[in-house]
Amino acid sequence: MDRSIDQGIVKLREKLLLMGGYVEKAIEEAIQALLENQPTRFEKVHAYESKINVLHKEVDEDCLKFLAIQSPLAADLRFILAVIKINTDLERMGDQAVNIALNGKEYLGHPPLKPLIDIPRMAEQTQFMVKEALDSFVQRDLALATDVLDRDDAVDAMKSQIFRELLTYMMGDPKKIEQSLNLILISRNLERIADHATNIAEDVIFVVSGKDVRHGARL
Amino acid sequence: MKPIVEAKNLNAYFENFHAVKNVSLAVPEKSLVALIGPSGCGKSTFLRCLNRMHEEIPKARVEGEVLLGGSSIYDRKLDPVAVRRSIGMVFQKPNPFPGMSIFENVVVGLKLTGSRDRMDQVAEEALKGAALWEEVKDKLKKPGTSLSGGQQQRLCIARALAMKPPVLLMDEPTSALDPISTAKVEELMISLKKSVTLIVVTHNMQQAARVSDRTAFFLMGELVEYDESSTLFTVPKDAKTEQYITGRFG
Amino acid sequence: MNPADFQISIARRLKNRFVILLLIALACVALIPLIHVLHYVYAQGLPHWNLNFFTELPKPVGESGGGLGNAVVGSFFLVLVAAIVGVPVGILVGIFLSEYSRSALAGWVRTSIELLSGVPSIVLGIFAYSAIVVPIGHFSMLAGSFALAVILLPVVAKTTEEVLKLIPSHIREAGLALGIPRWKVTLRIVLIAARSGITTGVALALARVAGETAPLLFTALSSQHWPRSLLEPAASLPVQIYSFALAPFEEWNHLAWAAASVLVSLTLVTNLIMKWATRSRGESR
Repeated sequence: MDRSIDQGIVKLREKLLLMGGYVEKAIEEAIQALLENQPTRFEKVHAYESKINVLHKEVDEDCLKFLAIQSPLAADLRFILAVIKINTDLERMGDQAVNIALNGKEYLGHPPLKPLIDIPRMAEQTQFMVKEALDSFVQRDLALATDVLDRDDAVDAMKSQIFRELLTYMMGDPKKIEQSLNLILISRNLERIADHATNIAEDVIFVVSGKDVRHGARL
Repeated sequence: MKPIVEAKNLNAYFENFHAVKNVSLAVPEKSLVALIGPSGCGKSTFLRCLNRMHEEIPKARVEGEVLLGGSSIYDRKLDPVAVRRSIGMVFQKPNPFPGMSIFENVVVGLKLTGSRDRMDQVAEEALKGAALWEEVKDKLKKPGTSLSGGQQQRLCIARALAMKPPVLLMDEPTSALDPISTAKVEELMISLKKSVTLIVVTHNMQQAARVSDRTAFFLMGELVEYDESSTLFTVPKDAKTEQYITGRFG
Repeated sequence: MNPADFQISIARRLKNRFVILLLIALACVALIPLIHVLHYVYAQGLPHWNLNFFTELPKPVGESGGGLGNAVVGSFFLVLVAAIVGVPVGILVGIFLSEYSRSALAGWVRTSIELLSGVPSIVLGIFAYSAIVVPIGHFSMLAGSFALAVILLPVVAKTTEEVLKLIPSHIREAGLALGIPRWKVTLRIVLIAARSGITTGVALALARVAGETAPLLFTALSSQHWPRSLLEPAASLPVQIYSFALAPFEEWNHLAWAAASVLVSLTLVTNLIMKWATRSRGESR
């Protein structure tokens, strides 16, 4: 049956996906600029981020109207609640992409510290999680969402490993502290993005199954 | 909480039509239970089995058990008329008795069932209980039908409360009222459940979500799901409940 | 759309106006007999209205003055006794028909009531004659009242049934749901709700039987005296009209016209009061 409420749901989902697309692009540009040593590409990250900010406000407004007009219940209610939270997560991910760009620019302003190995691996893993989280939202796929949760631990581990490794660099040579800190911050930015992807996956699980899996509760 | 009203394997029929199918449901004391479901799902019939009004319809019959405070209201020794004095009922359309004043409307139940003591006091208490006293205390002699729709419905609630029933049944009590009167009656329902157990049939899901502690979803005469309202309206367990409350059918 | 599309052709407009005029004319035709009767009766009757008409007995032929006081009082008591007998029974039958309409007996009763209301009043007069006048051996007011009661009963029963059926079933349910026994719900709630409707019906029925002539000819007959007992013949307005109107004495003819205008006034006033009473009740809702 066609419900008037469904139109609103479809529109919100499309808008959120568009936003997710920009987020993926922003992260991609920030990482590629860093890895390929192309500082000019950082500008694009800012462009994407401002698009994300516009959508962030729009989605909030749409949700407010949707709640006021449709008084959703059950699955619709869970959906709208998830959209509100995912909206915030995506906006934060955009901010983190900008942070990567800023830190990356700083890092590229100095001679390279070392060949980047762990950062690209971590970035790849994080981007995969973002894509998977968004896919699980579109397809209402519990398996995909659960997979995102499972990957988060690996990203956290990589961040710790990068931190330990760079700590030894900093202790060995104080001149390398600035570059090392830039890389540590980037790994921290990536880790935050992965956390937001995890939040999205948790919201998807709530929408689909009605179960709250946050803070250690399992599906 | 211990149940005050408990239906056990209740079946209701209209001649050959099986309107309520094997429903078991326990209502905790001093709570508000909402019965929801599409038209013709048996929720109103179920409600009318709880005060033996169903059998007033020709060729209608009831099988199974309804316990009120632990004892059966379908006991053969009981007079259905007496049963109804302990289970009040409020109807969809406000129906004050025509030709009677506001005061007479409130006390008519007491008067015609033989307890004529302290009627003034009982009337005042009942009208206060129905949040109508302030509006009508200066015109108790006016006809009950002279009140507005929302006031009439609260008069009907006062009429039922005057009998001091432990349980009050309401059959879509606000479906004939405007939004402001509806809000007043809803407010009243919430305050009433401190002293009375309420079982309310409603078509308005937002209303059920707002006022009830527990909600029962009926479909084709069966009880599909019965749960805390806060759970049923956010995370229903049954797919049919989900479909109904999100408006996918019905 | 173009406004021209809405313009009605002149032919159609003329046709419309013609039909409206025709309907008004026909309505006036229907009013003519009523106005004519009222005008005629009052023109003939009103000049002879005076206090004597209501307080005095008819004078013997040749004397002037006198009145139809005995007929006015006789009619009053005939209708009163008929009402005392016929109205409660009629209302009870009406209640039975409306509240227990599903029983097989109700079907039979309804059919009988309908047949009874279709029986010509003169036949009911003969029935009262054979049932009461013959056993007692002479004409009496009691027999007249009995005949009127039999005419009254189906009318009151039918009206009561119709009015009670207008009371919505949820009113009855509300009473039952309060734990009030069904018979009390009927008598103390439904009947009170239908009070004004039933009163109207009864009043109209009384006004109608007050004008009955034929059944009284066989039963109460007539009398030149004030009514004293139920078991004696009694004068009544319709019968006095019947006999005085045909009498060859002008004085009596005048009394007949006055009596006729009194009867018409009675019916008219009852009707108007009831119309007004039901309308004002409708507005206060």
